[in-house]
Amino acid sequence: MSAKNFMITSFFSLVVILLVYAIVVDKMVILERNIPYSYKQFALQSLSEIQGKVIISAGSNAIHGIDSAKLSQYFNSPVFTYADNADYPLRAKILSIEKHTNKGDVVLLPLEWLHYSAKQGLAENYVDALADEELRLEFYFNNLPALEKLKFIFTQYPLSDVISGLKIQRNKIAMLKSDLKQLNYFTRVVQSGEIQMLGNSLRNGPEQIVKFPTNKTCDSYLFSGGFKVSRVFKDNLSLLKKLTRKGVAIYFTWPAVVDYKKSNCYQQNTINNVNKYATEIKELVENKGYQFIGNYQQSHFPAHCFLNTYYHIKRECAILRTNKLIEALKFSNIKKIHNTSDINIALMMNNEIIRNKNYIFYELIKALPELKKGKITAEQLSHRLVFKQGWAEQEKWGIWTVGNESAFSFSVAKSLLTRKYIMLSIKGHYFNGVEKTKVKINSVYYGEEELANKSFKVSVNSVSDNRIDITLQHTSAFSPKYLGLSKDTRKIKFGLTEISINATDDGTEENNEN
Amino acid sequence: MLFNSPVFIFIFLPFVLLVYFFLNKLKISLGKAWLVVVSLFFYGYWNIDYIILIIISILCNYGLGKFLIKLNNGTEKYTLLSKSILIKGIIFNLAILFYYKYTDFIITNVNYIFEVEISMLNLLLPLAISFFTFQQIAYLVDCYKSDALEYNFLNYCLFVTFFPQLIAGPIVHHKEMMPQFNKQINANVNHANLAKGLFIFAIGLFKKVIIADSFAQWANTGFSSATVLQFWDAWGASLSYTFQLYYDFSAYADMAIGVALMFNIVLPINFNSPYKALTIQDFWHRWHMTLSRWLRDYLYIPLGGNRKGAIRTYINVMLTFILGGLWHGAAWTFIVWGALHGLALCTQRLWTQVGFKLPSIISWLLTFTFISVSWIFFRAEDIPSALHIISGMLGVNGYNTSSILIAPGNTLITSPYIVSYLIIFGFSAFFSRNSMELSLNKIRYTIWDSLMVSAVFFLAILFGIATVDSEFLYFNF
Repeated sequence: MSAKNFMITSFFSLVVILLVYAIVVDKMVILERNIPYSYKQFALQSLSEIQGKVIISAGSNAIHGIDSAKLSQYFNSPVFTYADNADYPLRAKILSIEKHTNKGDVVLLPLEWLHYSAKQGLAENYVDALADEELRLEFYFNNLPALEKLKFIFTQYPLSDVISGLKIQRNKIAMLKSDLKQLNYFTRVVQSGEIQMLGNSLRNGPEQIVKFPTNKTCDSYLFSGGFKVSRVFKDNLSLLKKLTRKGVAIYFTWPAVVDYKKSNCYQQNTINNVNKYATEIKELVENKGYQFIGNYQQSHFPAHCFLNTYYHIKRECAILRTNKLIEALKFSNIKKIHNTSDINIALMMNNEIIRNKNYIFYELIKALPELKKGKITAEQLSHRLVFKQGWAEQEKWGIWTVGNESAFSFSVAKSLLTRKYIMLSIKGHYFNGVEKTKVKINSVYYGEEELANKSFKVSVNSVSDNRIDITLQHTSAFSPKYLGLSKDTRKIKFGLTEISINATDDGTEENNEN
Repeated sequence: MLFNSPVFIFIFLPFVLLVYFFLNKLKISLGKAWLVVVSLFFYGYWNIDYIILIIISILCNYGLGKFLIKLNNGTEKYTLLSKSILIKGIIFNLAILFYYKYTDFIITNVNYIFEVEISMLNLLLPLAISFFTFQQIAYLVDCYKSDALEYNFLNYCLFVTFFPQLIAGPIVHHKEMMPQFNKQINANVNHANLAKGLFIFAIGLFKKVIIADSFAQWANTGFSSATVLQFWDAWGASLSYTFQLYYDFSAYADMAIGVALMFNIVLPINFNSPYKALTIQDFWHRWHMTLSRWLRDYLYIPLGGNRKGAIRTYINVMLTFILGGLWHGAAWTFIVWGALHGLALCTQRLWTQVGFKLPSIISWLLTFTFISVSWIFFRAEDIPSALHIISGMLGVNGYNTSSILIAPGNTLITSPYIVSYLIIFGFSAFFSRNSMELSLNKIRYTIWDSLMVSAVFFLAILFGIATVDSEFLYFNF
């Protein structure tokens, strides 16, 4: 081809290669989970409709340093801490917040010192978690606007991570099960109480951090990035305009830091640098039109507040800090939001969890192979059926019901629906004496039956979407612990060991299993 | 701004080209002025403070050159005055180079010898200072010898600052550049040159991001290893650097030649498969050819060359190579490297004179091994470190295979990556046609050429993410 055609062909083939690569990363490497991996990300998404909410975002310092519930009383509005590792890029946090905030919301940024001096480049623990087995941080990538995604793919995401991401065998069923696992975890978080539900952490709670190596002094740890505001932070500051344009108010405040033994966070020999640095930061932020709340000394705590790093303070100190912050907010004339709508965060979260669970169950039932004529033996149960509610973990012999109501579902092959009835047999055994089980199949009540070996004739007219939903109800589920038999606290009753499926026109079973 | 950075490839270069040819349509001098401005921007991208220095250097040398030409236009050539101006001009250039490059080296040695503690200046070496100093000294010498015409200031500025060759050569001669800047036809878009330039640039880019930067990680690991290198690791590190340096530097030359060609400017070839050389003299006819040319024309021949007897010839060879070594950097390792090459060349000269001849394969093997070993001094932090690696290569430290880890599954020598790289790209350096042979006479292109070019640009983007600081090795000189 001629020189001109060579250049044109080269250009267009480059464009095609780049496009294909971007699609591969977006659709095959950093896949979007149905449910975000982290509770905080799930909550941010779930609470996005609330207008007039307050979001606190920064590094883990914010999780331990500010009591969201207490601050909520001041603002008279829901306050939620959307913070995680300070190594994760602030840009990604800002962009995900931007997607889930509305006019009238408030974002409070108690950024850590390192956020102001952050250099170009991403932390390995961030990049690696974007497309690991669990897709732990995919939320950040998948919440980026399209152009930001492209920028990220072509300027920040290493080829080596793309290759290792592609090597991971992703299985839809496993991913859906992982979603369910996370939803169950979120349920526990919501049930555990307000602090965790609002994004804060209980001391020594589930988010316990590995013991901090204290061979670094506090000031060398806090200011390892130096005392110069970086280009990265200035870019992030400009990015906040996206939020203000939406009508979101933004306030900065200083991070909580804590001394440890003899290591003082603001030592004599660095105090001048810290003062100059703090002044530079404050001026920069205020010149952009944002308010800075309080001064950095107000959130400096003595060693007895030390939790496990120089940025994590104990609960009682967090309350103290929140009180100081509230005073500073009042002093800075930051108005209450007075969100008068009666918002029950726990209820909202529970509803979201249930809604998402139902969606995942639905997807899981569709994703699992349809049941044909034949038996589902004990060890296959959790691989072929969807145990939605009221079941223990699968054991070799089968699976226990837990509590008074247990539900499971599956889809049947279309070929079975050409007949008049589906014959469904349930086998199992009871714990602590035989009891009749109330059985509902596709919302049709089939009476109280002993399920040791029982068949049900299910009319295909009651089956929609190939789906069978079975609910078992018991009245006397007790835990072995309650009965003094073992330490097992699960309230178990019926142990399901086998399911068989057949189809017939007259209610008699045929034996052509496959 | 690096040639292999996406900013250069996708923003700077296309923008500069577009504006250049647009301005040329209005007025050629506008296009040239644009090239000077963007070249200074390109230069100042690393450190804006450098720009002042290069501007002062240009102004002084242009003024001195103009004065020398005027003096020579009189009846009496080579007057005392013109000689004195030339000497002052050379001293001026060398003084700047010396101040920035060699002061701390001298202080270190003075401190060591006289046991004093003179503080170092810790000056930041201005980028490309060695290159633009040499180019301008050559210009002054030629003005003195009436070998240079009186050029206009804009052309002179472009000759010194032309960004494709500014940072790491090739070291261009005013005689080969000025006529090109003046050619009317070069001011127009030339698709054949654009395509060829793109093709050569892509080859250079491939050599840099895929080959050189990969060898770099093994070479760097080996040369910075805290543990003593054993036989295989020492050879792995040494060979990795040998190929890294060749692919890195020749990649830069290819990219410079490619970019210049897009502006219709032909730069001199700087590499001609140097590792195919059968003798040391042959090597220096193939390696950094424009530096060899400069050293020959402006150092070796003025010293007397081979015109003043055998002993003086050997002395001149040694001096040329020792100074050539020192040009690369202010350290004893570079002096040793230069001296080794000088010695090798003297030895070869002696052999040739007594009629000693080796079979080609032995000669090649000996030459390549010598070059590879001498690069150890070129790369090592200091002479003891170089000797440690050489002792490893001689088996003094044992013969165990590596446990030195570069990345998970990637050890210095037992890694399949390094072995396959050494085999594939080693053999390419020895046996295949080089980039100039592949591209200079190219007129027709295939779809595979297009795919190769786009794939290389694509990989440059992705590899650029991982190697943010992947500067070319010759930037340090």
